Amino acid sequence: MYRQIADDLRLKIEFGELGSGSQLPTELELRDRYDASRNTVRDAVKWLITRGLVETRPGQGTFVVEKVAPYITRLTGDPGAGRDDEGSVYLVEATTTQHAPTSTVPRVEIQQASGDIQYELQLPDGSTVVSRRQRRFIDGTPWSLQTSFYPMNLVEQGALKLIQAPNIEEGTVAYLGTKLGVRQVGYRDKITVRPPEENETAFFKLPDDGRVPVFEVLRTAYDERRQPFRLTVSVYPTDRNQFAVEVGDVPEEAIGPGDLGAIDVDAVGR
Amino acid sequence: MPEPMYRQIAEDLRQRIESGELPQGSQLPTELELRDRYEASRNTVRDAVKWLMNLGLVETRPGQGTFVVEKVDPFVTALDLATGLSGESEAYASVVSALGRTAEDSVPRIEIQQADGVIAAELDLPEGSTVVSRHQQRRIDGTAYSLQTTFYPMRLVEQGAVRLIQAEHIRRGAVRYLEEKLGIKQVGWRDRITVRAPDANEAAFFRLPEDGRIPVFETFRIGYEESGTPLRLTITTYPADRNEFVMNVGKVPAGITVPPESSQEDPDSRKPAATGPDAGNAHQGQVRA
Repeated sequence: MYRQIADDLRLKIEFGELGSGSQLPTELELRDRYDASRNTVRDAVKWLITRGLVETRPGQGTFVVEKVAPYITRLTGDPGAGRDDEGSVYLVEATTTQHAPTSTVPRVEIQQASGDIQYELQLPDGSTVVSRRQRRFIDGTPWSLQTSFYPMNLVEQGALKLIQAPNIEEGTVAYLGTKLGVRQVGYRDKITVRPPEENETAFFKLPDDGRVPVFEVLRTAYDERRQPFRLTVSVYPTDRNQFAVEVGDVPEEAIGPGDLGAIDVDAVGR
Repeated sequence: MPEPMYRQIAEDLRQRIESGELPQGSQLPTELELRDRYEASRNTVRDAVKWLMNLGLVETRPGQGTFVVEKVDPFVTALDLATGLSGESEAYASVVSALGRTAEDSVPRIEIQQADGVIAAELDLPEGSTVVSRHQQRRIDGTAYSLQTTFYPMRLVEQGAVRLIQAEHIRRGAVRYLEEKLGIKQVGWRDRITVRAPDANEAAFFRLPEDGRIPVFETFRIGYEESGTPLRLTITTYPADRNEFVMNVGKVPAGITVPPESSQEDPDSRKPAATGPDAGNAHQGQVRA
């Protein structure tokens, strides 16, 4: 019973009937409306609190949590390489205001490839990879954690900037193109959802009980020989992020690189 | 930043689960063994186990103990699928069977309703316009994998696409049917992917834990006609414990999710020939009217 009440209230919140920031009906009103006992109504409200939909303000009552407009990241881009389009992710704001993301200087590490990294980059056991990790913010809000992995042999072939900490200004794809002639011709994204790890909980300031999951997006980029040369793992909290994919002809809308801040992930020191 | 003791224990156990040292379905060491091993108090060990339960990694079976949760074999949905195939649903069925698995879709449940705010806005219709919805439950090898609902503007039925309001599968997909019947062609689509807690219907259908700790993906797919007018809206929910998404852009090597007919080699073939949220696409419980 309490779940039905909770679901009904959740729908009212999601469709705006109970607006963001507005006060929830009192316990008495809810008991009346749903013809339910005090305990049932309390359980329903407790469930909404756990889901982060409402919050109790001491001495004032229960209110619908004010939601931040979600960041929408476009996963489809131009497969042909180039700093401004290829392999880039476009961030689209629901509002027309332009929000420029900022990133920390990459933290560069050299490590042995294992698990997903080894699998996606198709490397033999014991191969070494360079990782470049960044924290990314929008208007000061933690937005994503992003780590790109490159096979060490790219460095050995002369792409020394990969192991230097400063951002690679022209973008790594353009850099690898001019330096080594490696051209990106396509990429594959894999999208999963999982509970956050501890460092992610801390960075994104997520509730401690792990109830807000994170998206994990694995992007593998391929060169002309269809060989993977880069894996980017990005983690985004699900409470403030959505993704968009476009296939074929779709009308320009809020979701389009044109009028909005196009973020070339490759340009930001990956 | 010192981590509380129980979190350190939970993290250690989590790594042992993920590395396979504690395999899926195996019993966790008892409370006493854990206290011994980590030199921790009973409460600390309990908090650690509770934390792992929150993360969905272990579960308690009454009278038996605590066990590592067995993962359902994940299904990978390709968002860019439908190339060279007649539609999404046929593409979906062909991928499932290529994997040696069996897809079963329920007979669509048809509803006619007034479009509320969200659906009206997505379909670019005035609020209160009539829409047809086709709901469908989708299972793979008997396990519930997704719930799907597709909404169509009523005008399509008025123009002659009467099969949209018949409670049976539309062979080769609704989008292809619309093209053949009305000459209305879908030329592209846009997906939006979100995550939220499951509602009561979804929790029951997917057999998710009561506390809502396993979220669902909710995808909104809008298909467009040549004029740029939205043709349909498909809302699909997928529990996150058994679903993943993949998307290919440009030239990438063939992957397991790519059906043999569909050429990922040629980006131009990626145009959505006809993408049918066929036979209904249902999404039970997503009653948004």
